[in-house]
Amino acid sequence: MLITSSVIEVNDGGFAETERYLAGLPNVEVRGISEDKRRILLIIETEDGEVLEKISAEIGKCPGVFSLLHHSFHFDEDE
Amino acid sequence: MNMTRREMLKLSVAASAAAAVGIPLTAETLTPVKNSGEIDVDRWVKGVCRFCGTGCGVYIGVKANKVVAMKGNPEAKTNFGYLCVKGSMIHKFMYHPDRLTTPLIRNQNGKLEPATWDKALDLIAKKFKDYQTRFGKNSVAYYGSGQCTTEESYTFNKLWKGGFGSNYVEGNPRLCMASAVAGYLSSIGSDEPAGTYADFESTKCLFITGSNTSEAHPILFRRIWERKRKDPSLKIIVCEPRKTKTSDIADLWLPIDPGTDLAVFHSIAYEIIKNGWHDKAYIEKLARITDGEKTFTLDEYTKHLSQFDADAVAKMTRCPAKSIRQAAEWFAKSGATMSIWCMGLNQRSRGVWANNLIHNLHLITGNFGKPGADSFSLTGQPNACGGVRETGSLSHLLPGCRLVANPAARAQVEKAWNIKDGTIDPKPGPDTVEMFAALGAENDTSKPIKAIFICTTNPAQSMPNLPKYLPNMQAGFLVVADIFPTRTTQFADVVLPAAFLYEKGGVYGCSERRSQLTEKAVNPPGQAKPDIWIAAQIAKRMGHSKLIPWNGDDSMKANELAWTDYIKVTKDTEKTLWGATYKRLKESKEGIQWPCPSENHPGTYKRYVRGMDPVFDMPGYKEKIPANASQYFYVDAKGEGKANIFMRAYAGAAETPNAEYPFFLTTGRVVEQWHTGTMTNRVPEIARAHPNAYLEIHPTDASKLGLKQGDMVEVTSRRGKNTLPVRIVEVALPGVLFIPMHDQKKERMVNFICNDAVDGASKEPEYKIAAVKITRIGGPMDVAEQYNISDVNEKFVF
Repeated sequence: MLITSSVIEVNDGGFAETERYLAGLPNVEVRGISEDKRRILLIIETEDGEVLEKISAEIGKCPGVFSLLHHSFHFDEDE
Repeated sequence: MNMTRREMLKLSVAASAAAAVGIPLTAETLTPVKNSGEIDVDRWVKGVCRFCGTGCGVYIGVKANKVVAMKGNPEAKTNFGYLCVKGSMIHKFMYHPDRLTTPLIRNQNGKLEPATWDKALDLIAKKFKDYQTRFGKNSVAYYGSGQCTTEESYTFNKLWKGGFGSNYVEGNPRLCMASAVAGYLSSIGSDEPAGTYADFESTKCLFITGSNTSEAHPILFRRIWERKRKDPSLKIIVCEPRKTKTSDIADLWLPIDPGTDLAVFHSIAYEIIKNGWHDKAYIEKLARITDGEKTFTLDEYTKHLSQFDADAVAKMTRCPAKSIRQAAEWFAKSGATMSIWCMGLNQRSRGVWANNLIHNLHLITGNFGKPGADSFSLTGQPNACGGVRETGSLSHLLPGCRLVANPAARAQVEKAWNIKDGTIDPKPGPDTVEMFAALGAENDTSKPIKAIFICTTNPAQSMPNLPKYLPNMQAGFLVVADIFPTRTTQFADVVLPAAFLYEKGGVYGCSERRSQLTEKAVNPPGQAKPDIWIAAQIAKRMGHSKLIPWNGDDSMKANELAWTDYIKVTKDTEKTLWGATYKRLKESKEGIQWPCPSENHPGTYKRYVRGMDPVFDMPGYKEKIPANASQYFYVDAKGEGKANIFMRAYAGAAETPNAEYPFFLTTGRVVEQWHTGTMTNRVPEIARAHPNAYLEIHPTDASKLGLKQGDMVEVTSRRGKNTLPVRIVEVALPGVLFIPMHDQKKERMVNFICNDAVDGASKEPEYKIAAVKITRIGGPMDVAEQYNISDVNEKFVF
């Protein structure tokens, strides 16, 4: 199990589009939004790094996304 | 509340990130977070990221003596809690099965076979002593790294210069930062920037040149982007041959042919002075115009610059004249301009001049010594500044960046080290390129260096013009300390398994003069040992345990002893960290920026400014600084408190395209990979993103050559060739090619092609520019094998 906290930096005017896009992605949960709607805090839960990589690539395809940066990784054994 | 462990973990991770980066949690998350626990680890250990020179603060989550989590340190002044993809995946290669876990000695059949530490260390000491007896003290060299800790580099440097009396000490920062060092020394008088990253938050104009910040320093790029987002009036100018993602946030892109930027910098200076945008009072008070020997008037300088009229420069560089004029106006009139650069300026045969010309722009406009105004060199490695530049672990330096050729500096260090007067050799040793050129077999009378200790670096992949230097590495006696098998261990006679940073602890000093301590978090695997232990054991076996007494098994204790020794030696220099005791570094969550002369000093944001820089009040400096000087370059060799505006000529690259080799080739990083890929390429998630090197080519050039996406081509320079797939993209200018540098596969190792011509002053090679030709050899092939050297006995056939 891999639990990742990540932050999306949103392009000008790209928040609504990005929010809609994220809602359609599995394993991605929006857990925080900055007041100016330019940063979105995500939790991504995956079984392994390969899935995380694919999800990260998918997020990067959204035109509203400027960048995806990570804050923390938890790679403990599953319960 | 019923909550699964998984949900609790997610909430904990979310809460931690929210606090770190200042994003409020959603209401649905906020309530349960209040009731959730911490992330499930035994402890969080404070540390620093192991990759680029940004110096990101991290916490390493440990459970049952294993790293199980990583998170950014929100109190770190470098990254404020953010991490890039490399920094967050460190655990993946720490536990990779390829880790070296036992010493290896090459047997008579040429195979590396396991040995005890005693046997390996005894052999090294015996060989080194034998060579020194038969061929002299300089027959045994040390080649270190900007990835060793400060304590490790200091220890090796002390052993060689103070113990062996040899300046045959080099490190891979010679290959990346030497031009920045020489640039600061010649222009300003002292190495490393005056300002810090904090200037990003107050600058009004940011000039980025020779740096693809978005990929090489992604966390700093985020910081810049954040600043631009909050204040769109910030002007960003990017001067680069490739229009990378860094240029995406620029207001102005200055395209240039590789190596022609000196003309653009001169032209910007000319536009500034011609239009009267320069700061005449600043120039008169704090700068002198010089060619290194004579001084010149502003009129004479202007006349020199007049040959770089924007229209003429546009023709020679492909940079539009209008853009040069616009850049000049923004640079001069912003009120606070900051420049940042990296290898694009340094890895050049005119790297020092390029650095000088950037400093010139700041000095003629007075963009120095005030918030948001600075000429700031970014570092490529995590401890090139702290570990190598500041400890003086290069062949011409002593701790505190003092010169070995300076008798007073030698006397100061000899006294501090308590060694006999005259022990330190007054003659600088060879630079890196000379060192590897001089390495060879015992019976080769043309090669004076017979043995070399290589620590935490991979010269058999990272040296330029590899065909010239690989035979020497094969012929000489090589000792290599590393965590994985590499191209260099393939030539080693003895391989020593090294501990990773989080398995030993130590101090790293990043680009902004900030030293940060990493605590030891876990034990190293197998028999792997910290490099400081290895250095001390060699010292002990070679009769220098009095000089290097920190030879015990407790790495943090050895680190503390070495650090305390180091800050004592540099106490009276402008790079003083005397106040940064180990205790204080352990307690600090953000590290300390030198100069820091006392334990109650907070560290320094801005150098050369009274009231900010404590050197103004330090004995040895304060006597020569006028009482009314608010800004003063106290490191000026002429004692006038001035910096140098250099009247440099124009010179292009050492090698330019011609009919036979019609293309420019440049190299660099991609965001996921780092250096020679020995660590990052072992993380599948990272390696898959950029598994192999490729040739980036403009569609116009591809069309002319009949190339289609993925076609295999041979890229040939005067030195060697690569075989790799093409990636057709509109990034570089037509006529300019790019190959990333991380691939370990021989056919795709770009340094077989790169030029080993060096800068005359810094001796840094011109990795960034080579002339090449391309030949199509076939259609697309799958080369994404994520190649690593796993078998220590795999041969390197070159």
